[in-house]
Amino acid sequence: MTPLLMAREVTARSAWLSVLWPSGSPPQVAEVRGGPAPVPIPLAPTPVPGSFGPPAAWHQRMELTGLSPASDYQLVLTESGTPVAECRVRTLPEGLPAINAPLNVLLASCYSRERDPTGAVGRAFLRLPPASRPSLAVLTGDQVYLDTPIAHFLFRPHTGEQLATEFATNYAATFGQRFPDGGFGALVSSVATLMTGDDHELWNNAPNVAVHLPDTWTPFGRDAWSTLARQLYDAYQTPRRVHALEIPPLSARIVDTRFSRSADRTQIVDPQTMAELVSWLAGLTGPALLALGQPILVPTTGFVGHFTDWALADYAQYAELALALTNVNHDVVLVTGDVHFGRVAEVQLPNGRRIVEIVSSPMALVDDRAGRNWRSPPSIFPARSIPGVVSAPVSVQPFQTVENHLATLALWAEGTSVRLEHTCWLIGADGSQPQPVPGYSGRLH
Amino acid sequence: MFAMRHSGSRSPNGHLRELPPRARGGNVAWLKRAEMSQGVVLLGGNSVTALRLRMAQSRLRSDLTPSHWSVAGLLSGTEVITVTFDTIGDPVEFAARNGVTRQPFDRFDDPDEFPNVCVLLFSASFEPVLEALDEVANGRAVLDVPALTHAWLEALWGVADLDAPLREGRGMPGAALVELSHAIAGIELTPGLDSTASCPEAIWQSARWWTDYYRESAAVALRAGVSAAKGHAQPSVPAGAFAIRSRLGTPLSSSSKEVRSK
Repeated sequence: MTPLLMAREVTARSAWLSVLWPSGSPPQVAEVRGGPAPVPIPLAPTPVPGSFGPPAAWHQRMELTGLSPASDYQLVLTESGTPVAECRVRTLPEGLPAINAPLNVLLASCYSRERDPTGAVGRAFLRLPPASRPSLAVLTGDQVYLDTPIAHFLFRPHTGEQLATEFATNYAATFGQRFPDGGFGALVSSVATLMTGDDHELWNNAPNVAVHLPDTWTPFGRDAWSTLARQLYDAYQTPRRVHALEIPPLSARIVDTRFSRSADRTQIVDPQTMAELVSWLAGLTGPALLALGQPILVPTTGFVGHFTDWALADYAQYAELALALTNVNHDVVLVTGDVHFGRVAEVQLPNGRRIVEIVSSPMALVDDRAGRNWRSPPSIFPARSIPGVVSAPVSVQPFQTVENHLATLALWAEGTSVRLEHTCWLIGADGSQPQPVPGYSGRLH
Repeated sequence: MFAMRHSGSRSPNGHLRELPPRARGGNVAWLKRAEMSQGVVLLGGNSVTALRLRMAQSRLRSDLTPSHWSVAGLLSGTEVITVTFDTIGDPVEFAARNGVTRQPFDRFDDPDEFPNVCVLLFSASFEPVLEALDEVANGRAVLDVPALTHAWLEALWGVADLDAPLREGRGMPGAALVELSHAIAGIELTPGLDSTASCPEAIWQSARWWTDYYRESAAVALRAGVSAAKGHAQPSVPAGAFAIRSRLGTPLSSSSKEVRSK
């Protein structure tokens, strides 16, 4: 493993950077260059993982301040004066730009490194045309599949030390995947990236028992697995479970719906987060973008959820979210992944507002048996009776795909409205020629 | 396939009372005895059109007997605001008013023509529903009544299968008008449907069997501070009266509660 430098949360004037050092001793002198001035890295790294044996890497985060809005920075990580890693970051604009320079946001999910040995996803990203090149990425879960290869975990338990080694190796290989013209590592170090997790950042259907994974059959096993998974997620992806962006007139929230989920299907996020989410939706003063780890336009799973993956609609807390969403005073675009197909559906609320759900999944399909199966959303939202919630019709847009893809959202302001142009980019065999497919196009009020 | 979800209630809504019609009494007299001047009105007709509409909704009943109802509308004083297939008149004029008509209730007085009648209230505050009605009547973007009417005429004429509109999620126009007016006012009228297939039978079953749902909805609205000032109606457990003179088919003894108890 070589050192990694990756941009994470970004504002108009600052950016959080994530630094990963290889195992061994962290360096004594390091700094980040390329900002307004060289910034020494305060060397107090956290071991990764911090449990079950010696660390495989060291991690630290630092905030780069004093940046200019809507500006590009090529940042270099140096160790004792020698460049060892680099990343790019573009700060956000202070307000949503006009049509001549839209804010491009990458939307993607579900990346299996094992199924992308040539780095096609990163190559496709790097070859997006300049007019579509993203300033920000939102990845909505399953950026790693910790429970693969399935044959390795099937019907055989592992020690904490074994899990620590395997998970750390998986993360280092995924986020460090580099080719001269591609690799997932190129994607996550070329753009500020906001992330939510989903089940495979832990294990299939986490936090519930996975029948095929003996390591999850006991509370002790699940604790060990999830402790390691969280430490690695915090280091390589993000320690934040909620991201808030204000780019007037657009307001955005990227909310993790996996790490605080309860096994009894009551809770998707912790109550405080749900209260904040409900309050944010109730107080919108303009169009909104909400990113979640799973779609909301889904039926309840039923008994089969014990063996596959529970959907958001299976949780009691879904009622709070549905109630808040059906009472919004502005349009909401909800972006998500998880389901291994691309889809756009629209809810026409009784109050005239709309919820537009854009699903983008997968980047690299983990298993052919778990994909190629496009599904329509339920014809009404919510798909189950919820006291106090007035159901609304759901219409499906023509766009659909089951192929590996990325998506871009071009956003610009039109007065107090937001114009959204969604494009799906089919990655193809090697990512060298990403093919655009028009998705949703509309104005959000 | 389309069907009603089960509400989980073990007994029918006690606030919905059967008010038997008097011999030789019409529906106007019955309504006067019911002492209700506003709400959702359901009527069950005996014409061939009405019988086909009642038959089309049979899939929503677990024993597949036809519905008691063929018309749904909003009752406001002595008027019924609805969409009816026998008053279409000039097609363009029909589209211009989005199909919505106001008819005197006494047009439905004859018990031979409309043997079944029911009036329901889903909220003590009916004004927000009537206010929302204007929004529906004034714009096809909110509810395209001519499109629904077109689908149902195809079914009534045998061009399409009789239950095709409901299978495709196309509600009966009058019921869709009633449901959307309530939805804009913040009241869910068909919690048992998993589609947009609004119809009188679905409204009837909501009032009959979804008591707990509406009780909880009232509590949620109360906590949220819902008020008529915001254009919202405060939901309540449905209340009302009904009279059924015509049943098409005898319920099976093994039929579930939805059927045996009306």
